[in-house]
Amino acid sequence: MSYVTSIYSNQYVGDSLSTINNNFANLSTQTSNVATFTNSVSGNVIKKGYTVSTVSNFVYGTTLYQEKSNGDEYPINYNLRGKWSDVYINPQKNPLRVSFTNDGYVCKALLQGKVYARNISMAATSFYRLARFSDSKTVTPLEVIDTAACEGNISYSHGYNTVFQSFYTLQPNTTYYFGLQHWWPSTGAQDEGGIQINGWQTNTSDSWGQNTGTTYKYIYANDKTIGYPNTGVNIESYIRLTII
Amino acid sequence: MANTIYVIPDTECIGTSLQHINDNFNLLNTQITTDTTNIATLSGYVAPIGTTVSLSSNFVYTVHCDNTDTTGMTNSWQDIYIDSVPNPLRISYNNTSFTPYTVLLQGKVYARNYGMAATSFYRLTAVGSDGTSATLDTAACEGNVNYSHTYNTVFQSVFTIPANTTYKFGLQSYFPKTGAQANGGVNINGYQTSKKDSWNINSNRSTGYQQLSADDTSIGYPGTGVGVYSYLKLVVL
Repeated sequence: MSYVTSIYSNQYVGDSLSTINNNFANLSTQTSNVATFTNSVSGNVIKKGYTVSTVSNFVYGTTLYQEKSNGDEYPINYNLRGKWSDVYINPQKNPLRVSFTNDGYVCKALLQGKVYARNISMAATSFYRLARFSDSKTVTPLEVIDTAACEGNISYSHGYNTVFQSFYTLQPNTTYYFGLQHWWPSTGAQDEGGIQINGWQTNTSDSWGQNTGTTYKYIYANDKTIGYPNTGVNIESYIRLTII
Repeated sequence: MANTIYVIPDTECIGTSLQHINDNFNLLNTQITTDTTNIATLSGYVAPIGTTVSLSSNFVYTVHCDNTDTTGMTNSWQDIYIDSVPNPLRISYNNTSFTPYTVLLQGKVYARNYGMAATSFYRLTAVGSDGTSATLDTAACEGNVNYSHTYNTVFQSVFTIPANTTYKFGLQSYFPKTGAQANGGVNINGYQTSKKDSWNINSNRSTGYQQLSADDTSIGYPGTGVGVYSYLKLVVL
């Protein structure tokens, strides 16, 4: 394909200039088309591989029942049970979420997440999900993208390295928020059990009874029986968005 | 762009027109040079998309612990093995391009905890030719002294390999000495198909791990016809 017209040797100068003008116009249009295309593709290619992530090694959990001094058991930490709640990244209860504003062309993202949760002496199943939200705080999602169920057992503890993954199309001029949440049951057989996020048992003692909280249990860094800082092994929950 | 081209009047003096023609050539040349550079850059980004490097292992081995023998419980990170040498479950990618490449990493470790209360740990690592290293993903697999339990542990990450850099990626295990144990341990790529415990079939524990032989019909892949693999895969995005 040619975008130019040849000028004949016997062509008048005035006519030649007209042909020259047409040729310039055609070439300019084509180069402009190439520039427009490369700019549009560059917008996505340059973003390609761009990653935003949030990681948490904040070790916390909830007890479902705790034993009184007289031996009776009573439920605590009800307000994190029987409903969806964000996976926290710190004692201030900041949620495990990422945000991304697509100020360019439509593009695709890869979403990856993981929650490490340990069920302790609790028969009921806990649930986890990857979801899209309207902002950085609202708990109710716009859309649920991936889900998981982790069953417990009243007689023993068990940890789940639960992986979440999805592709997601990002529209132009839109800000997206993605996060991970858990749903801890208020029903089911339990024996002073509960759930730990990012924590695990490293020996036979159980630190659960060493401190209490009203909304969640924060397992401190100096808690030698459970958690990352004292073992040298880092277990994390995370959510990650990568432009692909 | 199009409106920067000067339209030459057909009544213009030819000498003046030649200068305008040259100006227009220069404008086009500048634009084409820019386009060529941009296209070359884009080509650098997109050329290896879909390139895949992978390594899988069905090498069945175990580390064992009891009250007197914790040889395999090293309290340190060690590679997942793919054979009896032992060679590590690692892959590498050499980015020879002038642009960085983003790669998707996917891994899996199949591990069976038996008769051991301690938690074993696994991780996906990256080590660059420039000496930098990173832990990309981690997992914890809790055991129980009274029963066995298996984990198909999945690892995932994305990683940007700088231009002109080689990175090695690998899967590793960490077996702690702590925790109650009762003649237990961890099987990699192996599972129990009967009540027979193959650990006692072979007595060589000096290496810290014990390969379960192919004709061991109680645990592992070859005797059952069912393949359970650990693997690591890299795909250029």
